[in-house]
Amino acid sequence: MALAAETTPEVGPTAGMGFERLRTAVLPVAFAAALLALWEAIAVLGGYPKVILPAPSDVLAALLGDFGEICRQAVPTLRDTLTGFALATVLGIALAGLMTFSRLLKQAIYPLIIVIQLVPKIAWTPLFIVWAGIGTPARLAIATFIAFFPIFIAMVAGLESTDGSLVRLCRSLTATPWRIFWQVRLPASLPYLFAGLKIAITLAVIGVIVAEFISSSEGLGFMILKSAALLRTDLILAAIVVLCVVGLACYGAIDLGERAVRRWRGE
Amino acid sequence: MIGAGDYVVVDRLAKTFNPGTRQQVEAVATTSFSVKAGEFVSLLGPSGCGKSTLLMMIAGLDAPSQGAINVAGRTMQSPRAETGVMFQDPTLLPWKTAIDNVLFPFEAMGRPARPQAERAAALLDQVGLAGFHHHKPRQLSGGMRQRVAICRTLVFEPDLLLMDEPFSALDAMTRDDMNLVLMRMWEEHHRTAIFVTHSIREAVYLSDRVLVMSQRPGRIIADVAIPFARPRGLEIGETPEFNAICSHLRGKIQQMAH
Repeated sequence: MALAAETTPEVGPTAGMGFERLRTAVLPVAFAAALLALWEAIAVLGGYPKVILPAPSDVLAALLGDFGEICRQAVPTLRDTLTGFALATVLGIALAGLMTFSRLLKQAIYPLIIVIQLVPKIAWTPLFIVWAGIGTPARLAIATFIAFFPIFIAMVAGLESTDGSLVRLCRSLTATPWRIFWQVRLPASLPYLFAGLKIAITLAVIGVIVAEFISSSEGLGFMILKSAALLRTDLILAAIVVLCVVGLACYGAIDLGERAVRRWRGE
Repeated sequence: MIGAGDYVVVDRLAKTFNPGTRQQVEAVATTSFSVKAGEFVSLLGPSGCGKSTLLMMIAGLDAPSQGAINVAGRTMQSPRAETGVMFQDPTLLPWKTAIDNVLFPFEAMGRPARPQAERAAALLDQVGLAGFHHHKPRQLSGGMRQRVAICRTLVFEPDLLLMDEPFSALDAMTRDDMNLVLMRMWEEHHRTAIFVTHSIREAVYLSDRVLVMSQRPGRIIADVAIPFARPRGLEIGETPEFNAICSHLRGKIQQMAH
């Protein structure tokens, strides 16, 4: 009886939590909608030419009108982003892993990578085009290069943060360095890896778009540049909307992966 | 297995950290002792006296600066697969369930773990974790985690158990409980064991023999046999004989401090 009496008041806080969650979902949407309405009003009432400031309704019209074409252009962008990202992930994990096996290697390579990482990676783009030509290999190389660093650095930090007592336990069990890496260091560093992956995926998109600006005849970056040349500002914004959705989907997929890993780790 | 006689021989062992530098620390002074097969020996001493360093050298995880360690007739160079080590922390893999943690030694050694699942489950039941086989460490209490660690240490049937203050992070009641669990498991499996502790009562309760270590640099200043018959219950802790041995040991430690 006492239990029931004590449970009842909890309905209040629970309902409050539900409202709080609803608010965190509704508030940003409402704010974005208000901004769009304001933009629409300024564009229509201000009488700006469509080339300078298309109204959101114009962007929507362009999006619906050229939806097939925009989606067709999104395919190579997404493909190159994901391929570059995957390559960067494999390279980043492998190189970071290699460093846990050899202190000498780490002392030799790590500072150099940090120095290269300090230079804005986009500055290297023309060089990759000189080396790899105008085409998919150059775009992949740029995406991989730019996405590599956050993954590598996060992975080095993750591997280094591995609980020393776990490693000592493995040594007492006569585990080989390879087994220690595979069974303890790698799983222990996954939370760090996911932090790096989240940064890397957004950078990979940037890399591919910049590469498409410079050297492409397809992709959303190419489409944006072509639309600018044709003064189709509405189409630029429509392409950006699709790009935004593509980026969100990639990020969301990694976020889901991270949650799965958290659950697996019993958090 | 060696029959009667010495199973672990520590011969003029010494350890100095960072020799020749300003941070030079003499952790263990020249120390010799031996442990017979099937014997439970405690290394008792104040915190920081080098007893853990001594144990880690016997485990092959730390290299001695001087001297040698002989286990089962072979000189220690590196960790041996037949030694089970228990650390101060349970050192469980957080992403593995209790039973998978118990099975981890097989994975680490590259041996198939699956055929051992039944044995692991039986061990967990024995230490009172029957309903918790598939819980992850985060869902277990400190005492439960250390029970899982006991099972993990025993599952691959090591012939030598090395325990480094395994219960020092637990509260007094849980600690008594763990001593009882350890005692039961040890009586059943009967391995040679070296147990490091700074608790006098714990050492007396568990051991056949207690080696008292001095403050740093540690060396052995007393070797006291504990005569109680086994199996031992926790109630022997209230007997006058038990308390007499405890005060004798306390006297030895205090004598050193002056």
